[in-house]
Amino acid sequence: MRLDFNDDLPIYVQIAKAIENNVLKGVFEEETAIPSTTEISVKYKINPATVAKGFNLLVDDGIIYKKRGVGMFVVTGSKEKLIKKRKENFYNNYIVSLIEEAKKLDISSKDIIKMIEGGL
Amino acid sequence: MGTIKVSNVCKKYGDTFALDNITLEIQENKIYGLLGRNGAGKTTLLNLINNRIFLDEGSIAIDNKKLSEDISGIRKIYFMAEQSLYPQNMKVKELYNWTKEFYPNFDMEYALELSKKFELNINKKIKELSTGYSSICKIINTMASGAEILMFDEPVLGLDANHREMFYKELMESYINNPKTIILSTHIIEEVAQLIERVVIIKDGKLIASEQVEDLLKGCYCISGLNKNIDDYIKDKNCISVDEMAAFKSAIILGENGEEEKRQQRKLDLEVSKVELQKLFIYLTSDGGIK
Amino acid sequence: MRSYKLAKYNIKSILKGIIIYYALFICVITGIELIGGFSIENGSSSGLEFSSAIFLFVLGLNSFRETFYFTQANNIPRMDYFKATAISIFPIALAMSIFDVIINRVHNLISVSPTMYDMAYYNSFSFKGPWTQSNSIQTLFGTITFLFALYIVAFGIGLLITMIYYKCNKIMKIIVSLSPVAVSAIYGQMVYYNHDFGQGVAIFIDNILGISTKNSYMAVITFICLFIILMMFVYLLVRKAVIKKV
Repeated sequence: MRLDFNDDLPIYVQIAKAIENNVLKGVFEEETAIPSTTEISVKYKINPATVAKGFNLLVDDGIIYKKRGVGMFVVTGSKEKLIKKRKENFYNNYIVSLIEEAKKLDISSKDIIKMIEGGL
Repeated sequence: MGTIKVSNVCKKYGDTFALDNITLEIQENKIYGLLGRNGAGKTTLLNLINNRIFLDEGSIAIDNKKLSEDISGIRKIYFMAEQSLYPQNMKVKELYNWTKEFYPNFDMEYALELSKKFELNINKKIKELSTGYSSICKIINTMASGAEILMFDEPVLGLDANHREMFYKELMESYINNPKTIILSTHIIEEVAQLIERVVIIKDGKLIASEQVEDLLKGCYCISGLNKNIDDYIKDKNCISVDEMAAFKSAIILGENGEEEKRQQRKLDLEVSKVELQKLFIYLTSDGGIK
Repeated sequence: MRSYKLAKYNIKSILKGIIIYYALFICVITGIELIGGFSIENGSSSGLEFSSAIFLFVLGLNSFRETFYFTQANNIPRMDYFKATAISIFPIALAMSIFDVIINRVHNLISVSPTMYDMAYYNSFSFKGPWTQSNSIQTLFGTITFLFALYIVAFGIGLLITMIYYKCNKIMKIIVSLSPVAVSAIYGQMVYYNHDFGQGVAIFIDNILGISTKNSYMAVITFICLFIILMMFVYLLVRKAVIKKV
């Protein structure tokens, strides 16, 4: 899990995103535990309140839940949920800036489609 | 509990105010960063809270008991001062034993465990320790003290990068396992920026900030772009610093980055980025920096 | 509670010094006797226990800074420091006075060596005539109480002086250092010009130390009062004592 303190996103948002990424990739499987607040707090030297805030974002989104006395677990079906959410935001998060950059560099849509087909 | 209330505190040396009308509250079980330039008054404030020097005006209360009425509140605090106040001929392990006498909740096991981790030879005399190990000895003593409130004044003086990292990690772990109020007074701001929850900034004896780090950073942003665009943008804003480089300028703005502002930025083709705590601190505490 | 712990600390840190002092003291006396040939006729000594008073005075001189700083490091209130200091000196002074009497009695088996108490308060004492040291309960008790009171005053004076110096800046330090000289000079002048004054002072000192009346308990009371006054000043100075910035 990589965190960049220089990034514009607040750390707690980065933590939530990083965990989401790992759920999507399958690193954190459903109904298994994610690293605890303590582990993340100590490893990255971040105030536990900040980590807890990141976790709360995920709890609110229904991605993880708290098992009392054990830790935070990945909710069943969260991978699906995340895929759906990311798909919805795909246009805004990636396509918009891609188009902007392409415009700056004067790349035609044909060239873009070729690049995409080549990549996928 | 572990709370401190500082009310209208003043400390004078001759005609100068070392601290001028400071009012702040330390809540329990939170980690505070006490920041300020050399001579700003951080150590003076810590000394006053621990009754090592005396107030000229105002009052300090620990857990709602004023120090002027009941001094025993300071026993809840372990204050690691920059100066070495321990008997020079005392051995480290004797020091731990005596600290346990005066702080009954001292955790000897933890102290010995930390001493091993930091490779501190507990059979050495205090005067035989290097600057770095002197700090380490004080840090371990503070962390194992079992006090409700821990205060560190320049804890990492002389510590190499490895030991600094070890300290921060141990501090986090100790804080999570045994919640307590912690105040870190340090110049090495980038290293503690993520550890602290709230920040207190003192400039020339005056309090210029006392809030959550997140709120402080939310209230400002950095924009950069072409000179004339920047000049245009900052006309009606609270700008606390401007940096110029060839045809480009970047400025730090105090204020909210709302929709209106974002629209202006897009129009003027300006880039926004967040401000780091250390940068913000430098701007706020330079001569001319305002808040 | 804390005061007791701090007193324990005080005593522990002083213990080493005391042991060294007595080791040296006994060596020196033994050395003197060896040179003298263990004979009762050849030479005598007197009032040797005064060196203990000097030792305690020096102890007082050294007992402020390090202990006070340690107290502050542990957030111990100044009142507790004061109580601990006052408490810790009593057992030390008592132990030393008893030990000094024991050393003296053993020494007297080998040669003549009266204590200050013997010289001042023993009814039939004389340097010239024959004198056997009394070991009666009264003498022993009187000697021990006298020494005890003397020792606590010696310590108190040392402590007060070191605290005054600590508090003073350079100019004040010079004034304080010169004051004994100034006082004796003024005293000398007053005695010279006013014979009655000199007489009066001599009589006063005689009375408070109970010398003419051969009453050592007068001296004990005087010393205890002196100790209390010294401690009052120490208390006033401790109240506002601060760690000096390096």
